Amino acid sequence: MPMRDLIVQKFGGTSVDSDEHRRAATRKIIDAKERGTFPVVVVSAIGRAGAPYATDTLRQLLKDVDPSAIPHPREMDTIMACGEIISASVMAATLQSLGYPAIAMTGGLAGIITDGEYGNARIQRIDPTAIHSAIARDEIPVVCGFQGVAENGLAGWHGDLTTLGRGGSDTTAAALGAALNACAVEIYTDVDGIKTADPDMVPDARTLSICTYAELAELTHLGAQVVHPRAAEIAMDYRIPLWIKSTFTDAPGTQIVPEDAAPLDLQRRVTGVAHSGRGVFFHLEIPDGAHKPIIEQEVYRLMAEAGVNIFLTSFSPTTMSFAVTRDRYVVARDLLDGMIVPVGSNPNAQPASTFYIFKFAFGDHPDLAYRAQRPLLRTIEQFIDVVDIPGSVFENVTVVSVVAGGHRLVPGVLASIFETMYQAGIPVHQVADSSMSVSCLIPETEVDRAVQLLHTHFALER
Amino acid sequence: MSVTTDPNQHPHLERETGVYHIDITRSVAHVIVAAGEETKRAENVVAIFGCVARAGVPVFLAKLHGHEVSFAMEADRLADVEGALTDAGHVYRTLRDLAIVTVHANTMRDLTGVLVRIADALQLAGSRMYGAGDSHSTVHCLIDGHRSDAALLQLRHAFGVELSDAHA
Repeated sequence: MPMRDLIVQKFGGTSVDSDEHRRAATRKIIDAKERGTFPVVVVSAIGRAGAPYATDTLRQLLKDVDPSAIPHPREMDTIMACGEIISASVMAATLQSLGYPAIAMTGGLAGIITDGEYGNARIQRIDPTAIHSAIARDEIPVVCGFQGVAENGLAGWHGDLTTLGRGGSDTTAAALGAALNACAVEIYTDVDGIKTADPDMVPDARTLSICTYAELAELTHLGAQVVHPRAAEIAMDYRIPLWIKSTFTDAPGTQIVPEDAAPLDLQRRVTGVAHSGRGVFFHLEIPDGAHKPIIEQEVYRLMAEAGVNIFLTSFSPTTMSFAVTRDRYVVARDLLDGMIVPVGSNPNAQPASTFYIFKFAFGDHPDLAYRAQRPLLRTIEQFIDVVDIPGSVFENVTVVSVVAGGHRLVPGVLASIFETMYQAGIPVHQVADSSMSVSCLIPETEVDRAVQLLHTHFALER
Repeated sequence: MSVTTDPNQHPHLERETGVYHIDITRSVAHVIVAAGEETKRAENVVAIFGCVARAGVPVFLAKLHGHEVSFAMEADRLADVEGALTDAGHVYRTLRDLAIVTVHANTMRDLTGVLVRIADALQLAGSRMYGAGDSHSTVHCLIDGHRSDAALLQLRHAFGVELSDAHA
């Protein structure tokens, strides 16, 4: 069978959450079949959070067994995978009812082999034998997204069921596209392609007709939720022709192409505005330049040991700052509050060492650990220097990003972002840039306005 | 990672998590410009970056500090920026002969401990870090140009990755 006639079509939760929506999805599948291609279908669980068979609902079922305990990840993966199994069965039955033979396949039956990390497994390889056999029998394979089985010995002794983490069904589709050498992977969703901004914030956000893999990867990493970044990376690595389309319209959608196949003007354009995450920004004043690298290193080490990821890092001769996600804020602040970094100086000098102690405060009230530990140091202050490192935090911040592939070649992108924010009175706490984007850390309350203003400033609605 | 379009040539179908590549950009300058008091900072930041943009010089690794802003740029355009900042009356200082080492990783923001390993490696290389920036896939560190080879070796050792083409 010519592999190039295979097409992978993935349908998200809102595309399969009602009979009407499933009928719309089946029309896409049947159209592909009638065009002479061999569709391989991937489905997500039915509906979004709150729906009876959605992944979150199933997860809650297990959590409710004993609210005081954390369910074992193995059982959690097993129950979470049920959503896709239900969805694939219903979709296969729907196709059968329309006269098209179809077969529902679990991830394991479809040959998807993962590592053994429950809840966030990565696909190691795919054995497509069962899918090829189904196609040879003229059956449409309907594969459960989001799941696979672990290689024997990696997790359990009989090939445990694993799930791929958030956005896992997109990952399944892209990986199947690579393994099957498909002529295309189509990701169907409830919007008609990749938008220049979140349409809930910017109603006149434009659908991009064409987008490079790098732009897609950048947009998705920075918060655009149309497809998962892992799927974008697989598509990029294997140069899979990828489309993002709507289940509910016949709009052409967005075609994703390699950089070297993209028109020249794509390489230096502003692609879109994305926003992501809720964070907290830490700022530390470190007075002694000579000891500052040691203190910075200890902060990095402490955060790493506690499993706190930091980002938007920066430092000047007397300051360091970084952001953490909101869910790690309390951990990070507790770790830093009252932390003491002893630094040895010249042993012949008096005092021979300096103790740096981190100080955070709510208003005029220092945090608990500082309050408890600082007085203890007074008894030895005749032998050592004790230096406070005042810390401050900006709570409730978020990141707004302008994706612009050529911004390091074109002067002024950064300047115009600052100008736009300044004219609107939106404070920018920090900036970060990659080769593909410029990101600003701003108050969460300003995110809608910032996205709208930047979208307008860069004329993305045209 | 090496990229091939044949999944059978990959040890694993998906990218592995973790650091996979380190490269160096040489001939970089770092510019630190006074941004004034808190009440005027936003206005001054706009003026500074506007001034540099009008000089036609792209900048990267831009950072906001308490009373200063800093950015990196190609060293051979430094005279243009110095001229523009001087003409506009900005107070600034510059560092020349720097390099940027860039550590590439998949899902960088899901990884813990990358920064401390970089800091440890740079310390072993005797290389001071003048600035740092990160994105979802990279950490950039601004270091002394003359220590860049030693830094690259130490980082390569720390993360177990091969020398990049950029270095060769």
